[in-house]
Amino acid sequence: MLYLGIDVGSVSTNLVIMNQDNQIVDQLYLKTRGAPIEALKEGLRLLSDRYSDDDIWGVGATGSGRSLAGAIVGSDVVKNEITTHAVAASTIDPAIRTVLEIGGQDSKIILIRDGVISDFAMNTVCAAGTGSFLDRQAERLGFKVEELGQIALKSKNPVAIAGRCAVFSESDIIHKQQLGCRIEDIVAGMSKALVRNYLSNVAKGKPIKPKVCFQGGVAANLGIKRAFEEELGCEVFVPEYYNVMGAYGAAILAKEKFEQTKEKTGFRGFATGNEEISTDHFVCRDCDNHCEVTIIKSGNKQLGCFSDRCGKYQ
Amino acid sequence: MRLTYPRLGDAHIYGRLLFQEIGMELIIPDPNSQRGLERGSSISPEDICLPFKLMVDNLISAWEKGADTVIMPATMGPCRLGEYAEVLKVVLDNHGYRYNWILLDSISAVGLNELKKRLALIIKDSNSNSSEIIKALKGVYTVIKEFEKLEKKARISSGYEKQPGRSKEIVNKCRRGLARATSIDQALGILEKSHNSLNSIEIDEFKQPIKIILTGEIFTCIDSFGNHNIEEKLMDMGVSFEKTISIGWWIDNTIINPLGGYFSNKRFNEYMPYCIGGYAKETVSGIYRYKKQNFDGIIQILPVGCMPEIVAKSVFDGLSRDENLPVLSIVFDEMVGEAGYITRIEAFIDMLMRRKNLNLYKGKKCCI
Repeated sequence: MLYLGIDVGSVSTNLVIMNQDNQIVDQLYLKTRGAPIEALKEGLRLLSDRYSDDDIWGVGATGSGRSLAGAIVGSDVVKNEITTHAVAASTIDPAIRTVLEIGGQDSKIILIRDGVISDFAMNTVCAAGTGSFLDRQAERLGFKVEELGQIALKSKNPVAIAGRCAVFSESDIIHKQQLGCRIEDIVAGMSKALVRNYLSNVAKGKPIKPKVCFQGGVAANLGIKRAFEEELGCEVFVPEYYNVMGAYGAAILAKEKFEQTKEKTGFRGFATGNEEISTDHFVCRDCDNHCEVTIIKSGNKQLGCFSDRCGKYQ
Repeated sequence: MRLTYPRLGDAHIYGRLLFQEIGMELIIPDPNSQRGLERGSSISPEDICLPFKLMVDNLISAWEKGADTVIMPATMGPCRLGEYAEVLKVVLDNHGYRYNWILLDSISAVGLNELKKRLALIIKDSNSNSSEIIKALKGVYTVIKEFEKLEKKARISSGYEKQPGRSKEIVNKCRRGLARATSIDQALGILEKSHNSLNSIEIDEFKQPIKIILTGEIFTCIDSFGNHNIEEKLMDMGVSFEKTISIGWWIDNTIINPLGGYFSNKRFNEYMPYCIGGYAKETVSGIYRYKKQNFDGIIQILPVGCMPEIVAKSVFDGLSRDENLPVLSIVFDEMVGEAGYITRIEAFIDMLMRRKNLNLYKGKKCCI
């Protein structure tokens, strides 16, 4: 009895196989590279060698591409990433009361009290300080994004960098480079700026109580973890599977749903990874709404349809 | 003289009925669309709010259809320090859309005589006498009130209906009917039918849906393009909700009973002691009223760059902490991708649902 969790995000597409005891038995972390369908198919192909369709008792999808993934795979649960991240964190350790999650384009804070979400916030209009910003800066500085954390840890005197806006902070970084500042000080300064921006823009004075769990792709960055610890004055815990927590949460919810309803899963099988999946995208002009409709097809069979307000393409 | 005014929710439906009744033509701008918004932003000041950009496009679209006179209600208020319509006029004039402007506002803003003069200007092409005009105004007012009553009922019943989507369907059908109605009497007939069909939908009284207050900046609250159809999304999620701000509310507050609005503004409010412009104080005060009625949470919506609502948003942070009332603020702008909005709304509803279940489980009455 296994459960499949899928998280299609802006930067990565993650798949998790979980057993009956909520333990992760297998995980994949793939780059989305702007092609979520391809990434998802690749993931399914990789898993098809190791598992058979009958092993899977439930499927959950999450992430910004959750409806797409849900339609293609035939998932039983389609849930937003805030709920799945919170469920995953409180399953790993019920003592966790704050979840800091920084992903590719979103950053969120989730407060958990008595095992349920009591409050959450997401970045509103600015994506400064998220994974894609780090990616871009790493590329500009000539490093891999994975190396940034280690570089930041070497710094003794982080320089001041503006964290309010990605454009300002990039100008600041360039300026400090031209002044001849050491690269590790610049990277550490950037990590601090990112954390400050997160706390003032996303957390906005919400009560951050221990135990604090830090997850999402950016949690791999030790420099940012250290900056959070300095700023919050408490230990920040990074779970073992920090980068697939969303997918893990989706798998847990799929299991919960199965246990409640005992319904057979709608999983379309790992062979979906080899199917030819196409999308139709058009503006429907049948009424004043002018909806931008997307239809997903496998061959001639319609798998799903999004964004039609009247529901006539469903 | 060919009249027009910018789109605001269903205001064009009401306006068309009114002017049709008194034998005048109203030019209705094309529906708001992404392409329209791009055209509007291309000539608007860069920091301006979303409604302004949409209105610029509306007026260009009406100009292309032959309109030459704009009626702008309520623009001498505190938005852009009372210069909202002036800025709009300058922007359009600079690009060759030289409209005649009739600016309307409350008596306190323009004076009674001036207001009379301006109103007379609007109806100078009409052959109807004043009693006919007053009758038409009353009729349209009834249409607005009745339609908003229908919407209000549908927002609540969407959480209880046995056949999901029925309430939404009835409201949308009624709206389409009103847009085609050839007289006020016909419109009232359509409304009566819709009320009857909404009253007869099957209701599950034992359901315990999430109850929400939807509030915020006036344009985004009223216009469905401005708020990415948030109302339909909430209805689809089976949420029962109330909206504090509507066209009817504005008419009551400003024209029918301006004293009521004046006094409620003067009333002491510890979270917002001063009137800071826009409808920020009304937004915050409204919550007080609803707080006592067992609501699970508040959704506040606003466009980027709306100063008064930004202040209201900060006030909500404190209110939310002190009263243990969850608030979700959603900021709208030119972004088309809806995934972000939907994620936030879904997560908010999920959170309220889990909180509610927890409270029920503990055997306590919901503390909100």
